[in-house]
Amino acid sequence: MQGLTENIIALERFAPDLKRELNKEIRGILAPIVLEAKSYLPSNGEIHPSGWQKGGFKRFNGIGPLSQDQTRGFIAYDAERAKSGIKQTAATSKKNGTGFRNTYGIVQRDAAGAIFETAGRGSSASRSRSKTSRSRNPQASQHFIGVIQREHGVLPTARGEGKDKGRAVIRAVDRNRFKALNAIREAVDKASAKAQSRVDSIISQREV
Amino acid sequence: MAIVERIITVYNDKGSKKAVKDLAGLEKKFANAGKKIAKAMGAAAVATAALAVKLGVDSVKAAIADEKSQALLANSLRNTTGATDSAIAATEAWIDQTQRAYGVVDDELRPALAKLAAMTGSVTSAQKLLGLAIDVSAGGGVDLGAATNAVTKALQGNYKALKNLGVPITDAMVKSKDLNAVLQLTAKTFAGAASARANTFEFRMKRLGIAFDEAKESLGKALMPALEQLFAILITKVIPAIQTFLAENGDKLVGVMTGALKAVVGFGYAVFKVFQFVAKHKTIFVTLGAIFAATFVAAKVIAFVTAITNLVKAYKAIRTAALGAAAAQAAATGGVSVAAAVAGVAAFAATLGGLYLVVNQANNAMDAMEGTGEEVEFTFDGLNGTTEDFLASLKGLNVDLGKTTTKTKEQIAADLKLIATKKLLLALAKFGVKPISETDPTQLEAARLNLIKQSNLAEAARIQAIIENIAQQVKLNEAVARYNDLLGVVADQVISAEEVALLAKKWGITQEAVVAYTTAIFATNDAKLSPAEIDLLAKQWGVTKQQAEIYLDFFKAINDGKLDPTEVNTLMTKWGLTNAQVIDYAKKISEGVTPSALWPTPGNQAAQSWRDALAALNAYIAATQATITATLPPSLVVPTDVTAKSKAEIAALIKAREDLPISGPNDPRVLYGGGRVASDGSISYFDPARLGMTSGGIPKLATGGIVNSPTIAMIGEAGPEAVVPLNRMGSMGGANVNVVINGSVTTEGDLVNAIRNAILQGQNNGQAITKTAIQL
Repeated sequence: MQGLTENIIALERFAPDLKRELNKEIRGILAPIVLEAKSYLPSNGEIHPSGWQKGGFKRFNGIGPLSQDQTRGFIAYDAERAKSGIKQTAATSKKNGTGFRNTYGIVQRDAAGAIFETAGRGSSASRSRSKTSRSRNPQASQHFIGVIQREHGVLPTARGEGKDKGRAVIRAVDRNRFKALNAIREAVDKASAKAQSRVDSIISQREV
Repeated sequence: MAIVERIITVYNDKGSKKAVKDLAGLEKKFANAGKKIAKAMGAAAVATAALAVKLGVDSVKAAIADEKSQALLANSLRNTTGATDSAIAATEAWIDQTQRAYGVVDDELRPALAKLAAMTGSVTSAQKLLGLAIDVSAGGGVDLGAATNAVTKALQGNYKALKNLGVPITDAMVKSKDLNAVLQLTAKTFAGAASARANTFEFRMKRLGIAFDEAKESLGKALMPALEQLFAILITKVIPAIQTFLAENGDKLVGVMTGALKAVVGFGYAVFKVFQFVAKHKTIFVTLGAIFAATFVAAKVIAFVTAITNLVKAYKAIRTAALGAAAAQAAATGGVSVAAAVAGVAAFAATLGGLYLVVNQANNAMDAMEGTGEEVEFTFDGLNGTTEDFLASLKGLNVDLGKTTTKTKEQIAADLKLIATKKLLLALAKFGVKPISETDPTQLEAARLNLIKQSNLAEAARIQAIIENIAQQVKLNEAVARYNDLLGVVADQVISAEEVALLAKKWGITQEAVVAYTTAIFATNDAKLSPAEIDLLAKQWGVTKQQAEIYLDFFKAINDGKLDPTEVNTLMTKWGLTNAQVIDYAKKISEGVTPSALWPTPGNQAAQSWRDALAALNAYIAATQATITATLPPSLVVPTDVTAKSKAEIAALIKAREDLPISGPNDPRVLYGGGRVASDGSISYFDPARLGMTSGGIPKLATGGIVNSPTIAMIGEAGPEAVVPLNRMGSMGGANVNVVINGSVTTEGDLVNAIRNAILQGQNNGQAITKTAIQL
């Protein structure tokens, strides 16, 4: 979005108050995307593998071999937590070596939600094991991914930045990206126009 | 673990490495171009369009490479598919469209298309397969060349490459050599991959870069002919020819010039300096041409117009500087360093004249073009021919080319500072901001002028305020003066038509306005205003009739200096106001401030005028100790048979009348002043007959009489008489004193004092005093 980000930076530098207003407005723009992303998350009853849901696995107590209904810490899927983990990151701004970085986006902060988001997206090479597994269930990950892909859709293999696909957050963002961009652009343009008029008024006082 | 899907990101060095690399490269190129141009041209060129210059220079290179690429593809398509020129052109358009859509550069697309066309023998099929290859490239994560190879091999029956890229080709399909099935499966596998990739961040940037490059190439194509021609003229003809000319001629020609020839040669030298300048700064002229086209391609029409205007100014400045410097040098050297040839003087002058015409023509064209924003076309044909003629004839002159200007450290530092400043300006210009540079003399001058302007404006505002204040004072004084005038003419409680005319003349207003003003002054004292009078007031004040009525009601209510509860209730009831509103409104009227926000300005002015007039009246009353009753006529009596006289005229008349001799017994001074006129015309204030004087000469006042001056009289001659001063007549025969005691009387002394005070007050007021009406 050439020009848009420059405007955002300019607002940050020259009109921080307008930038704060802009952030508020963009939060409003991103809110429906967050809701849509949450709607893509299955409920606990709909998640597959079904044993992944909260309470589906029993925590391994360290005694004896790990049975198939036990887990050593694999995060259980909890729809509520996964939904509440989806948030928007609006106008996080921090200085770095060259200036400012502004990011508007949607984030999934729940681990299980993130697993659901991207499970199966890695290439087969990334899933290959260099050593022979000593696990009693060495195919567990493949089974897990297989079930997810069967029940919740296959994601194309991720290769490189920008090609990522997802099931909830990324899906919702992809569906609304241009709409959101246009809305953000309008909001930025509006704020920029305000800033510009402010600058113009200052300049006009100095112009002959 | 968190998944972050960004919608807006900002480039910096920690962003996408690929994208940053691309952008950094572009920025570096632009910056370098800016530095070069800054050194070459200084501030003007940089301010005009360093970016455009860089675009122009790069565009030529890009256009050359693109032309080569296009030529190769066209040749291949002709050879393999027998494509026509129109088909090739359509293919180029398709390639352009494809590269913009999918972010794959034409330099990759053309070889791939040529390869597929060679395989299929059809441009159409090649295009379809190329589309498939792009999908394969995107889905398989390989470059287009590899994907094209895979497709090509598939066309040859080798599906292994496609299979390796992820197409689930079965052994049965391999065995059956079912190419269509394989291609369909491939298409299905990678369907939409290219589109998806094109929308990724990386490829959006690539597409942006492609569009940029295409613009540069288009620009370069437009520039190449002009640049070729320009270089051909400057480098291959002008400079070598001049150098040759200089080498062939030396000092042998010195001293053979005539005076006339010196002038011609001086001009020739000046023209030569132009060429020298062009040769030395040929980069500038190349970039100048580039600016035209680059600006036109890369920016909007407005920017183009602006750039053209700036460019013309810049060029004219350069031209003027060059010519000026050359002329100055020529004048300083007096042509000593310039030798002239004896031979070919006429041809020399003629060609110089031709060259002059060309230069002048160019100048005129620029003058005409300045501000119009029309596209500029440099035509060098005329210059070319004239230059050749000029050079062919200029055999015998030798001119020192001079030394190349080198910059000092200070100049370089200044240039760097200028670049930094311009960079900041450009950065701000991205946001449409036009900041005021603190280093640009032009802008500083503008700022200085602005300060002067602001100062002038402030001074003007101050003077205007003073003038307005004076005007208000004058207006106020006029109001007071008018009221005083009015008091003078209404002393008899009647305003004659002549008085109205006199006032109108004195006040410089119409008679109607005088009547309206007078009505307004008197109306508020009149308990019963006629609707016509209220209308007149409303019209005079510029308010509605209702507003005038409200104002008058309030004014009458507070005219006695207080606001009774009864008055408040009346006003509340009549105008539907609350108690607080009534009090507030009355307070504002009594203070002479804006009675209400509902009051328009004219009404307030009228009210203020009335307040001023009232104040003048009070001052007048205080000064004269006069008592003016409010028994003015409800409507003005305007007689028509009275001659208008001013106060001064009336005073003069009175004085003149006093100086007149007494006309006779009926003269008022005799009738009321006690004098008489004798038969001989002498004046006597003693009329024995009228005063009942006896013949003895001493007046007898048994029947009463009035004595105004020391008089010897006989009294008591007919019985008891009382001699009473006229001003004590009120107490004669017994007076009635009504004593009203407010408060309590506790002692006899208090009662005596109260009664005495009341009697004295009554006596002072001329009241009758009796003993029968005492009430405690």
